This record gives sequence, structure tokens and C-alpha cells, in this order.
Amino acid sequence: MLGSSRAARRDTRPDVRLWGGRGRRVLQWACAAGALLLPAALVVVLLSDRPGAASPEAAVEQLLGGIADLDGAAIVGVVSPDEVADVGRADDAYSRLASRVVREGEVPPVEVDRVLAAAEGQLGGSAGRASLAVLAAVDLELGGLDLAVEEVDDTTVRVYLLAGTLAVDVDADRLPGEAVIDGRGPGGGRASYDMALAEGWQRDGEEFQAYLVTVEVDGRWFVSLEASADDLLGPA
Amino acid sequence: MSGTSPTDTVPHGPRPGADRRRRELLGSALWAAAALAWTIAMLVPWFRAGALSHLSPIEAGGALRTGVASIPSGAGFVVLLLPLASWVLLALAPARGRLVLAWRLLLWLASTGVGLGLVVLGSSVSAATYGWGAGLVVLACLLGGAALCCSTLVRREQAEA
Repeated sequence: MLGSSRAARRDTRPDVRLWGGRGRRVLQWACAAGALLLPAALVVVLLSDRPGAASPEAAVEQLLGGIADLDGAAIVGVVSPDEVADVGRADDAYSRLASRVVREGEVPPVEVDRVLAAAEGQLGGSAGRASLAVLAAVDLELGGLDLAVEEVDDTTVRVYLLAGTLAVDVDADRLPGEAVIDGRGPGGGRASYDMALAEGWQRDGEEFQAYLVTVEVDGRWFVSLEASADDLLGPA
Repeated sequence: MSGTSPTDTVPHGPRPGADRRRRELLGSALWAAAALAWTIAMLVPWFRAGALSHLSPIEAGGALRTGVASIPSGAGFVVLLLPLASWVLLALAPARGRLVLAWRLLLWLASTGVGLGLVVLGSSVSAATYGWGAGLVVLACLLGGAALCCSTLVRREQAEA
């Protein structure tokens, strides 16, 4: 009688017995393996991503593509390592180029100007996160690139830009704030136009065929802003 | 996953411990899915437009490895800290005990806080144009939450009964 009531109580007790054996060991090993393999895969990706490009043309193509995509990693990865390490050098070279080399091309449609003015209105003169968000309103797409190379020496090559188009598409609806656009048309705040990248370049007022200088470092090719400025404008 | 809560009642059926095994297996699978989601999120951009639309965390790490602005190239590996908690949680998935449960909760809270914080911060730069990466991070946090719900805890005397 006493035994049967104890058995009845045992029947109603929650089943909390631990499971183990081979199945559980397999689970432990599988989880441990997964926890090691996943980070290992990322480390391999990190280590296999070598900076630079396989050829001078590829280096210039990656730089222009990085600019069009607003891809900082692509840009940094293909600029000469010395200039990446010392940003001041790249900055000086860029300032020299910007002061004497200009591109006079087509005039953007008025709709584009209006959206860009609305974007500028949202910047508020600051360079914070909001100003970066404004970039979402602009889509750039590079197409029809035609490049030609001219060897200066074994480790230095000029890459000429013979043809190429940058399609500019602006969409005011992507601005982070409410866009105020004068004369907003039926197409909303969208506008686009194409820039002919190879045309209209002037150095000190004289037209020239645009090019960048690439350098070889450890078997990989990089764009050197410093060498480009020196070659185009003479040594600083 | 470890044990039932002291107040939990586990349905008893023809196979003793089957429910517990099912919960532990399901929890481990969910932690594995969360770790996988975090890992893939490192390889794809988190946003569709704007400043971060073409940059995955691993590419950002790659850029750091080039020694930009004289930052030591080893800094590129710092991005691996983002999914680190998810990998530890996967390794801990089959472990049992109160201490493990406490660590599990803390790590999930930390990874969820960091993950969602980065998504919000990134969205302020990329105009809230969420993409695959941001979606995977949120999914990983939700999977981790579901895996936590599979956690169980057993009193020693219950287990020995």
C-alpha cells in the first residue's frame, strides 16, 4: 500500500533527468567546432584581402569605382601605402592638384541643383553624422571606362582616362530630413545626368588628357596622388 | 542548455529526458544560427544607400590593416570583437549550470546592446536605409533571445532524484 502511493508520487514528479552519452558529446564537439570555424573563416577573409591591384589599370579602376560607390575601404586599399600611412602627404598632393587642375564639363540640370541645394540646406554647416546621411540622396554609377597605360619606368606607370561616364542620380526622398525643394516637379525630387569623365580637364587653363600615376609596391599596383601631382605639375 | 527552472513542469512521456534533450538541441541550433547570422553580417554592407552602403565590417577591418593614418595594422582584427560574444555563446550552448546561464544572459545582453547600438548609429549616417547586414544583426539578436528561452535549470536534488 505504502509502496504503491510512493510510485504514484514518482509518476507525477517532473522529468528532469539529464541526458548524456554519445549524442551529447557530439553536440558539444559540434558547437565547439562551429565556434572555432566561424571566426577562422573571417580571419582568412581578412588576411586574404591584400591591398593594391593586380595592374595599373585595375588600380585606377578601383579608385574611381571606390569614389563612385563612396567606398572608403576600396579607396584606401588602392592609394599608395606611404600616403595612406601619412594622410598629410596625400592631402597636400590633393590640394596641389585641386588648385591647378579643374574639369569644366556639362552644366547639371536645374533639378539636380535644386536637390543638391536642399541637401546643402540640411547640412547646416556641420560635418557630423547628419551631413554623411545626406550622401544617401546621391547615387553615382561608373560606366564605359576606357584606360590606356604609358610606362614611365619599371615601377611607375601613367594611366590615361580616355573615356568613361559617371551617371549621377539624386533622390531627395532619401534625404534624412524633410527636403525643401523649389519648383518640385511631377517626378518628385529625383533627377539625373551623365558626366563625361574624360573630357574638359584643364591644367593651368590648358586642356590635357587626364591621367593618374600608379606605382608598384611589393608586386601590387597603387595610385599615388603625390607622384600624380609631381608628374602633372612639377615637384612641389 | 541547462536544466529546467525549479518551477517548470516538464511533461512526462514515454521517453524520460526527451523534452530536456529537445530543448537543449533546439537551443544549440538557435545559438548556432545566431552565430552564423553575426558572422555573415560581417561580410555584407549593413545599409543600402549612403556612406556605409558599400562597406562591410570586414572591409573596414581590411582598410585598417593597410596602416591608414599610421594606425597599427593589427587594429584591423578589432572588428572580430563584434561577433565574438555570439561565438562564445555557441561554444557554451551545450553547457549546463547556473553560472553558465548567467554568462549566457550577460553575453547575449552585451551583444544585443552593441549590435542594435551599431545599427542605430549606422542608420544615422546612412539615412536609415537598412540592408542585409543590419537585418542579420537584428535577426541574430532575436535568435539569441529565442535560444535563451530554451534555457533550463535543474536543482541538484531534482536531477539526482
